[in-house]
Amino acid sequence: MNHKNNILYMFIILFILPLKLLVAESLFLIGNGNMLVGINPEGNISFVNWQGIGGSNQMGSRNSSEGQSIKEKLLLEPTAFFLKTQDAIYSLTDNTTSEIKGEYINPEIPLIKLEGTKVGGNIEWEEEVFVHPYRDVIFIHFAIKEDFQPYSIDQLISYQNISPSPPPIPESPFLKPIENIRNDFCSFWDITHHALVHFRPYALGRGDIQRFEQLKDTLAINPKFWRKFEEGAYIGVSSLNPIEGSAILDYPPSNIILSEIVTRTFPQEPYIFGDTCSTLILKPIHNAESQQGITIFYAFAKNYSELEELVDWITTQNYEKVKEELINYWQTRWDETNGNIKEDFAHNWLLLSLSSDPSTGAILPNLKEANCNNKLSLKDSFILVQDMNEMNMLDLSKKLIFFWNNVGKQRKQLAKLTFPLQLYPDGISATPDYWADISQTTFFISMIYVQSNFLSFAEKKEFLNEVWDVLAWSIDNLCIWKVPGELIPAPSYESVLNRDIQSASLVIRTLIGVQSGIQLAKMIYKSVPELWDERNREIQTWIRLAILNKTALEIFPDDDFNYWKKFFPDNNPIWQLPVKYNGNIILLKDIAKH
Amino acid sequence: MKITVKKLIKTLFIFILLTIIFVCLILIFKSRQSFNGYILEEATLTVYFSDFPSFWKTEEEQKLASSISKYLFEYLYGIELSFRKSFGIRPTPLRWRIWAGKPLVISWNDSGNYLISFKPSILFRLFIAPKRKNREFNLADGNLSGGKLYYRWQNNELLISNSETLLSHFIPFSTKPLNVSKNVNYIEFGRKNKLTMFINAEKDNHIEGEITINGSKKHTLTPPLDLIGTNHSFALSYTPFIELLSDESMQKTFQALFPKNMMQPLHIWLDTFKNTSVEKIYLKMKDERLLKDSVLIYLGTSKKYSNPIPLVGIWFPYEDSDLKSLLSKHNLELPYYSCHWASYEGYLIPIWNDAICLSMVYYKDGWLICSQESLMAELLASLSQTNSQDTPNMSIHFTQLSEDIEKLLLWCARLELLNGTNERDINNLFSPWKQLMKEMGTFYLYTHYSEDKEEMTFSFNGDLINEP
Repeated sequence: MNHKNNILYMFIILFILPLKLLVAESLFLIGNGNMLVGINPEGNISFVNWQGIGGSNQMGSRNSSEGQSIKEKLLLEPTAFFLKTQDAIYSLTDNTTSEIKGEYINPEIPLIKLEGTKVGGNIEWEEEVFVHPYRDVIFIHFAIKEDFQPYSIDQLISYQNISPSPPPIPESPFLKPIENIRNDFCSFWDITHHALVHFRPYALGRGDIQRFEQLKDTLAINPKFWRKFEEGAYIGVSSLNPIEGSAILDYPPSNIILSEIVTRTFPQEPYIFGDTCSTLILKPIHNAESQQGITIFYAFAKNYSELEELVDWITTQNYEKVKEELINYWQTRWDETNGNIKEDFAHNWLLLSLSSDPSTGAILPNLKEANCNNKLSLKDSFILVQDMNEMNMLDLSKKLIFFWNNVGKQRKQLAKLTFPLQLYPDGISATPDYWADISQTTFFISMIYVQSNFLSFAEKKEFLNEVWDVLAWSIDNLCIWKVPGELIPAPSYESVLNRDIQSASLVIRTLIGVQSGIQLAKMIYKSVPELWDERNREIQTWIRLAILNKTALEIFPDDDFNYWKKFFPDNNPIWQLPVKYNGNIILLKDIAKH
Repeated sequence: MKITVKKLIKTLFIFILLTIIFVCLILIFKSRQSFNGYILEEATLTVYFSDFPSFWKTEEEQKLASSISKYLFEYLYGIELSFRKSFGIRPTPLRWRIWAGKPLVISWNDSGNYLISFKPSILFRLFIAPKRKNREFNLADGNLSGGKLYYRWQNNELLISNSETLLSHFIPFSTKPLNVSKNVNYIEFGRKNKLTMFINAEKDNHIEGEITINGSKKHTLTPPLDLIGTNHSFALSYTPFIELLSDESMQKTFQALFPKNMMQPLHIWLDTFKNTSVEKIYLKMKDERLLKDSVLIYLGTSKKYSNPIPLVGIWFPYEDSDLKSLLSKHNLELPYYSCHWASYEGYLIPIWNDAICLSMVYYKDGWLICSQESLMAELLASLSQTNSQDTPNMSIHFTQLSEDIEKLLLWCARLELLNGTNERDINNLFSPWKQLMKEMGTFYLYTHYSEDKEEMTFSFNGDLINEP
């Protein structure tokens, strides 16, 4: 890539990529590789993916069991409320009555600082949110300036709407409203650790329910009891400040009942099932800096013992020290990487690092949605690889390619012909095998192809030798995916139709895949298998015949259309191919106009 | 002194004997009194026994009943216990006869509310019903089980309902069959379409009945496929059974009588096909009335995939053997490929790779469609080429069906879709039902047009047969 192009790409990357790929405008991302948290512009948590960056949402927006949307303001948490009197409660983070500004303290540090002023300017507050670099804990720190007369703060209430849900369901993309039928969990006040504990044991059974029922008959909860549920999702909510009181409500609170909450005591019995909201009433520490600060933390653990350990550890920590530790950690990481990547891309590097699974190399794309998609596909990865290469993040893109290479190895061993349509970042297939889209294979081949263009001959040879096994397997599969006796590829799964179809997109992608494979072989002076050459000729023949006979297949142009334009020069006959698009038959070259 | 005591004992003995004779006479006299029976005004399901204790006793001697009591003992014990708690009597046929008489009628409406009507014996009136403060029953109207049940006396018959309001919305059961054998149970179901049925306990629960469908044309009743040799869970001729079930009152009654959580796994499974090509094709076929007079064959679910993929075959009559014209006539834009299975030429329509690949063969003046290519091969090999005289319109292989249900339940539990029920629970809960279904054998139902009837009425008969 020459320097002129570099400038152009820099422009694209600086202004387009952040919008397209990892939008910081709608959601702030924080995390530590094992946890990915989306924070909305008001500073409330939008989603938490745990365990792992692709873990299912453990808290945040969801629908009530009746299927009706709960009032958005009350869902987002932790929402700090300022309680003036028993019957007047103001939300500090309500964007309808507050002016809130938020940003990362540094492009490469995942620490968000928000400032807000209540309408009328009488309350000014600051909020800092981050995830501990080594431990699965979200820290939220509020500071309220003292010059907000005539009000005086007596108490702060923090709301949690926590719905621990089970891990993603492998190969079951059909069951979309899963939260409506998987809402069983339990909440209780842990007297030993002064924390609200929300948890669900995985595969909840009748025996578990019986245990809960027995427990309800006792006055206090025996901590040993919870150790019986070793596998599950445990979320402990506590504060570094004193906690005065709390309540667990079966339904999301509304302003009418807020005043009642403060009179409630901590629940001693577990609450089972339903849409449970919980509150903590927190007492801010008065200090000399004319600010009243309050720190809430959310600790995530796989079992009760781990949670105990985590909560015990946190309570011994000093907030400022933990913050410093975070800043040092990320600053060091960036400094180590800084040599290869330009400063302009520091924030993109951070977002990509947060969205990367360190154990597998998978990177989650499209995190702009509040309920972010925790799956990745070959197509998304291919687009991401191109963008990352342009930013010189070759290490990250290589890791992503090796992630798919490992998936390919497993598929080969299982005698499968296609890659899964979607995967969770831990490598588990998110779609069933029978949604077999052979054209996705082309994205794998193309990823390797575009990556190779950034490498020297020696690096190229080493890299291609490493992935050659899976690469050859995938090109072979593209070649054998055809109807016997016909030139055209056999029907393949198309997401738009949710069924198998022979489409122009399939033909074009197959051609790109096979031709890329041939070129890759030639690059490192490997002999090109006859099967690949023959299939290349067959598809080109089919294209010529289709142009002559005006045979038009349906086309579903996708995000990779721009790559087609790069791959096939303008004078390539493929652009004369007639295709069916939105009910009309047009030439492929005219698709861009549409 | 001794003589006086002896005399006293003798007199007492004679008195007791006379009392017993007197009571027996009363019982015999009372039992001859007619039984009206009352049902709910809006009844959608009515079950009538001319002699309930006798039916019960005979049923107990049947193999099915012994299997039920063997495997579902806990459930039966629960029912028995709750009966004892409510009425103070351990339910047995003899006791029922002594206290509650012979005839019994139970009716349900489409909300699942019910009315039980029977004629208690004189003993019931003498020993249970007298107005006493410490008794739940009395000769006036009232409630039982702490307000869960309500009762009312009507012409010496006792009506019990779970709804107090419904105790004033009942009618005499005028359509009850006369001269029905004492070991036969009569069932009426539906409002718009109607099913009437007799179950004979003496003949291994042999079923006979009629289906009346409103506003429909005649259908082909002889199934064109002989499925005896096929290894299916159930098979069903589309008509008249599907039309029967199109009656909204029946659907509502089904929904009311089956607890929601019992049907939840089925709903979850069906949801997996929502907005898929599979559903679209099915709805198209249904809307275009292609399924009229069709045959549905359900062969279970495939073990190959993570989701339960159904193995289904459908045959429907169609004049045109040209697939292209069939698809274009019904606006089905689906790519297809030629294929053959032994001597049969057919087509493949790929939907989801090898999981759902519609395989089509023009067979016996209609189209036979299978959900998988391999299934078509299997089905064509096992379908008998010559129709046997008595091809059933419906057959249910309970052993195989139990496997399918278990698979579905375990799938739901594994995905944690049944709140508070995991795989271990399912194994424990479903195990007795599975054992029972395994011993039930196969149910066959045969349908014929009733003779000399102008309206669309079918008669049917069916049996449970234990095949080796």
